[in-house]
Amino acid sequence: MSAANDELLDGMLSDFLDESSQLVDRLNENLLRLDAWVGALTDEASSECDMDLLNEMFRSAHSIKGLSAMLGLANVNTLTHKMENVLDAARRRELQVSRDAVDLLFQSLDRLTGMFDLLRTGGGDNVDCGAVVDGIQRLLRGAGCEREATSQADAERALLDLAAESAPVAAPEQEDFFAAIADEQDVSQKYLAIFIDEAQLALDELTETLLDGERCSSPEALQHLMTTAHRLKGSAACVGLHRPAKLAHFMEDVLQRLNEAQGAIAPETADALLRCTDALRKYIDGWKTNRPDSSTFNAAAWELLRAPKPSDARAAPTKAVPSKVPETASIAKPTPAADWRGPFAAAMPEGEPGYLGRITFTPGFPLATLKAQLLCEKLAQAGTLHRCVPDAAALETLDAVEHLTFAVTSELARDVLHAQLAIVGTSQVELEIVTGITAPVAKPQANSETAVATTVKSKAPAPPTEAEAKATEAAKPNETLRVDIERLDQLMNLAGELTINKARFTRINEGLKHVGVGKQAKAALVSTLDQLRLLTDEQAELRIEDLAAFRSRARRMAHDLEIVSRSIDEIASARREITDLGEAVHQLTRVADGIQKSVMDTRMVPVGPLFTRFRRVVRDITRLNDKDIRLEINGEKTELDKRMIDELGDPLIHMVRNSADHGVEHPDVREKAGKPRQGVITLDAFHRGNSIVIRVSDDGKGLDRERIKAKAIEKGLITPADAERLTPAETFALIWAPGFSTAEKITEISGRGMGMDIVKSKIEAINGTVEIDSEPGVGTSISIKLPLTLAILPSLLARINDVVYALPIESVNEIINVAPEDVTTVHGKPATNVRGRVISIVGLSDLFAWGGRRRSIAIDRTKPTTLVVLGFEGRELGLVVDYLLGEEDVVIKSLAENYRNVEGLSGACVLGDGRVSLILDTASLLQLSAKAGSNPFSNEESRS
Amino acid sequence: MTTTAVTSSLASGKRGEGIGTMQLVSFRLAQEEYGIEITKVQEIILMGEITRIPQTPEYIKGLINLRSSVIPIVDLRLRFGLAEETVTDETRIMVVNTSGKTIGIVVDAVSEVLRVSHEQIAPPPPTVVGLGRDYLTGLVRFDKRLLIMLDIDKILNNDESQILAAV
Repeated sequence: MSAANDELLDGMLSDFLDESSQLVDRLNENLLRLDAWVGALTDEASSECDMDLLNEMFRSAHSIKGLSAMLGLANVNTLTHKMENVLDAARRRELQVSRDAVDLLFQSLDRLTGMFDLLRTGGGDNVDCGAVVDGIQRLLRGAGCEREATSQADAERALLDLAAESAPVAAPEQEDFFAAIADEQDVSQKYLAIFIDEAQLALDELTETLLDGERCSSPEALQHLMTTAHRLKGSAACVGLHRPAKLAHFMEDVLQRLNEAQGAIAPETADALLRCTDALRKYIDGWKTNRPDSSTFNAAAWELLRAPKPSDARAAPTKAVPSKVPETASIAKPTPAADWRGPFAAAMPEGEPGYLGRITFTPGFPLATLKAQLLCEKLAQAGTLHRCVPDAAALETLDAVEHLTFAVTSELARDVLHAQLAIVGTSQVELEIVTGITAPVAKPQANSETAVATTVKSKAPAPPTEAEAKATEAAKPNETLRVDIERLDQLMNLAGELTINKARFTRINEGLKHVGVGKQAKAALVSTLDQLRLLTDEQAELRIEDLAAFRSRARRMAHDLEIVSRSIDEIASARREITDLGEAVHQLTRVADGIQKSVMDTRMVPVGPLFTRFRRVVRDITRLNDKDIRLEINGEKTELDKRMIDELGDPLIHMVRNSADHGVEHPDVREKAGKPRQGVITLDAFHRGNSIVIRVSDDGKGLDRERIKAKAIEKGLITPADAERLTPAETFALIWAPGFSTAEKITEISGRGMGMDIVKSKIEAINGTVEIDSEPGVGTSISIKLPLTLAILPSLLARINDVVYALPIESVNEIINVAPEDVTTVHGKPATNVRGRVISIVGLSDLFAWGGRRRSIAIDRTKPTTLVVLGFEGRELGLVVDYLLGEEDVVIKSLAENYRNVEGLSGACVLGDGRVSLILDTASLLQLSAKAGSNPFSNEESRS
Repeated sequence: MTTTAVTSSLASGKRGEGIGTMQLVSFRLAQEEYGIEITKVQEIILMGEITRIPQTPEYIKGLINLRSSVIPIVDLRLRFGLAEETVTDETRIMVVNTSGKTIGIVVDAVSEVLRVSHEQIAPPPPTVVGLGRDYLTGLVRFDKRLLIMLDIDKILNNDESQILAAV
C-alpha cells in the first residue's frame, strides 16, 4: 500500500515538476518582457502595463501554487503564493510595477528553480527563501495592498479575520457548514477508487476552465463548470462522502446562480472556486493515505459565499430596479440573495402581481428534495408557477437541494404565502413582491453602463459566428500525451534495428538483381536444341550402323537440353518474383525510414525555450558588470533530441557567461575601439549536413592568443618551443584543458577556470564536438556540433585483424593507401607523409590489450597498407585496417548497460548478420595511442 | 536442457515455492557442481559466436547479441582460475540477471533444477571463505552430492576491483 503510494506520489511529483518547470519558464519569459517594459518606463509616462501579461503571469503563479499545495510542498507553496500576491496586486493596479518588484520576482523564480532542482534529486523543497518572502511582504505593505499572510493556512486564518472585520454582520454566521455532515464510515475501496479517479478528473477540468480567464466567462464554460461540479457532487454523494458532496454542492450553487444571471465569473469568485477545488484536492489526496482531510472545506465554502455575486460585480442591477421592493421575510443575509432575482423577474408575465422567492433549506436536513417537491406543488396551487429552479422534474433526480428559487403569480397576500412555505426543514424563506411589468424592461435601462456592456457581452457569444468558432478551434492546443522518455529510447532503438534490417534487405535485393538468365542465352539454347533435333531427324534417313549410336546420343543430348531449357524458364519466372521482392524491399525501406523519422521527431524539441533562458542570464550579468549586451537568437525553431537539449543547458550557460563576462567589452572600451556601445551575443542553431550546430558568438575583444600561450606555458601544458609552432586552432584548443583560465579577475559570474573543460566533457558525452574561432578585436564564436540523434551512428565498417569494427564516419578524415616505401619512422614509430601532414601509423593491436595481454601485430611492410585517418580536434592518427566493408548506420548499444564502459570503445552494435561489432571511439583511441607512445601529434611528447 | 524446460520449471517453482525451500539451477564446472538461485536465471542458450572485447580481464569472453541487446559473457572457469576448456556439445551460456544487468556465464553443462530446503544449506568452509571468494555463499547437501551455491551478484561486482588491480 505504502509502496504504491510512494509510486503514485513520485509520479505526481514528476508531473508537477514537468508542469511547473514549464510554467516557470513561461514566467521567466514574461518577467523579462515586464522588465523591458519597466526599463522603458520614464517617470512621467503613466503608460498602462500590459494587463494580459500580468494576468498570464498571475495564472502561472497560481497554477504552481495550486499544484504544490496538492503535493504538500509548503515552501514552494509559500513562495508562489507571495508571487501570486504581487502579481495580483499589480494586475489590480494596486501596485505599481517597479524595478524592485521585478527583481524580487526574479529572485523568487530563482529560488523556485532551486527548489525544483532539489526536488528532482529527491530532496525536499527546502530552499531558504525567507529574504525574498520578506521582501515581497515589505513591497506589498509599502503599496498598502498586503492581503494575505505567508502560508495557505495563515491565509485562511487571515481570510477569516478579514471576514470578521469587513462583515461584522456575517461574522456570527461563521458557522461550520460541515459540522453536521459526516462521511459514511465504511466506504467500499472499489468505489472509492472510482470516486478518486473521477473526482480528480473533474477537479482538473474545473481548475483548467477556471484558470482560462477569458473563456471562463462564456456561457458554455459556465455550463461546463456547473455540470462538472454537479458530477463531482454526484459521485461523492454516491459513495457516501457527504462532506465533499456538500462543498461541490456549494460550488454548483454559485455556478448555477451565475448561469441563471448570465453573468461572468468575477476574479474573486474564480479564486474562491479554485480554493474549493484545492480543498477538495487535498481531501482526495488524503484518501490515498486513508486520511481524508476536510478541514479546509468550511473556509473554502465561506470564501465562496463571500465572493461577490454577479449582481454586485455588475453594478447591482436588481437594486436599480425601481418597481422592486426588496422585502425579505426573514432576517436576510446582507448580500447573498441579491443575484437570483434577475432571470426570475424576467419570467414574470407583464402586469400581474406576483412574487419572486427563494427558499433556503436547512443544510443536511433529510429528504430536502421531497420537501422541495412539496413546496413546488404548494406554489402551483397558490397561483401560476412561472419558473422554478430546480424544477419538479429535476428535484426527482437530485440528491440534495439547498435552495428553491421560483417566480410565481398569485393573488395570495405575501405573509399568507410565506406562512405556507415556511415548513420544517426550511431555514429561510425570501419573498419579494414584483409586478412583472417593469422588471424586464427597466432592468437594462436602469443599469449602469458596465451592466449594459456586460449584458451585451454575455449575450453576444450565444450565436457564435463562424469566424469565432474557427478562432476557438485554432486556439485549441494540440493534444499531447506525456510519455516516459525510456519508452521513447526503446522505440528509438527498435526503429534503429529496423533501419539496419532494411539495409540488409536492400543488400540482398541488390545481390539478387544479377540472378537470372539473359534473353540471348535462352535464344542460343533454343537454336542449338533445334539444330540438334534437325540433325537427328536427318540422320534417321541414313541407314548407317554407326549413326544409330550417334543418333541416340544426340537424342539424349536434346533431352538434357530440354530440361535445361525448362529450368531456364523457371528461373525466368522466378525473376519476376525477384522483381516483386525488389518492390517489397523498396516499400519496406520507405516505411522503415518513415518510422525512424517519426520516432526521431517525437523526441525532437525546438531549442527556442533553451535559448530564451539565456536572456535572463545575460540580463543578470549586465546588471552585475555594467555592460550593455543584447542577446540575439536565431534558429530557435531548430529541433534537437530532448536528451541533448537537457544536456546542453549547462555547457551553454558557461559559454554565454564567458562571452558576456570576458568576451564583450565595457561600453566605454567598445566606444574607443570604434564599436557600438551595445555588445551583441548571438545564439544560433542550424543544420549542417548530418549534424546540428549550436553556436555562441560575441562581437567582443576576441581571444588573446599570446595570453593563452603564456598561460599554457605557465601551467606547464606546453613548452615555449611548442608555443612557437602552435596554429591558431591549436592555441584555442588549449583553453579546454582542465584548470585553464586567462581571466585576470575572477568575477562572481565566471572565471574560476573550471568552466571550459566541463563544457567540453559535457558535450563529448552527447557525442558532440566543440570548435573555437576567434579574431582579435572582432569577436569569438564557439560552435557545438551535435549528431542528429544519439542512437544511430553513421559509421564505416572495417575489418581489422579479422574482426569487423565500426568507425564513426564523423571522425573519418580520409582513407589512404600507403605504399611500403612511403612508410617512414618518427622516433622509431611508423608514420607517413600525407600532403605535408605527418600521420602516424597505428595498429589496433598496439592500442588494445586482449585478456590483459598486448600482442602487437607487425605491419606487413611488403604490401601497401590501408589507413583510415581518424581526426579529432585537429589531432589525427592513421589506423591500419585489413580492408573496408562500406558504410552502414548502426544502432549504438551502450556497454555500460550490461557491463561497463571500455576505454577506446564508444559502444557496440549489432550488424545485419546478427553479429556484435565494437564501435571505436576516436577521442579515446587518440589518448590510448598517446599512452602507448605512438604519438601522432607534434606537441604531445613534451606534454606527456 | 532447453530454454523452455527452465521456463516451465521456473513457473512451477513460483507456484509451488514453500516456506523454507528454494529452487536452484545446478550446473557443472570442472567436475564440481554449482547452483544458482532459479530466480536469477533468465534463460539458457547454446554457445554462439562471441565478439571479443579488448581492455577487459581474460574471463570476459566477449559480447553476444541476445535478441538485439548486447550482453557480456563471463567464462566461469577463467573467473574461478580454472583451466580453459574447449567448447563441447554440453557447453551452455546461462543468461542471468544480476543487479539490473544481464550477463551470460559459460558453464560446462547445465544439469537440472533442484528444490532444496534451507536446512540443507550449510555455510561455506572457512578455508574457502578465507580466500575472499565471497561469491560462494554456501554448500548444499543433496542426496550424496555436494552443491556449491553461488551468489551471482558478486561475480561481476568483484570484477571491478579485479580490473582495477589488473590496470
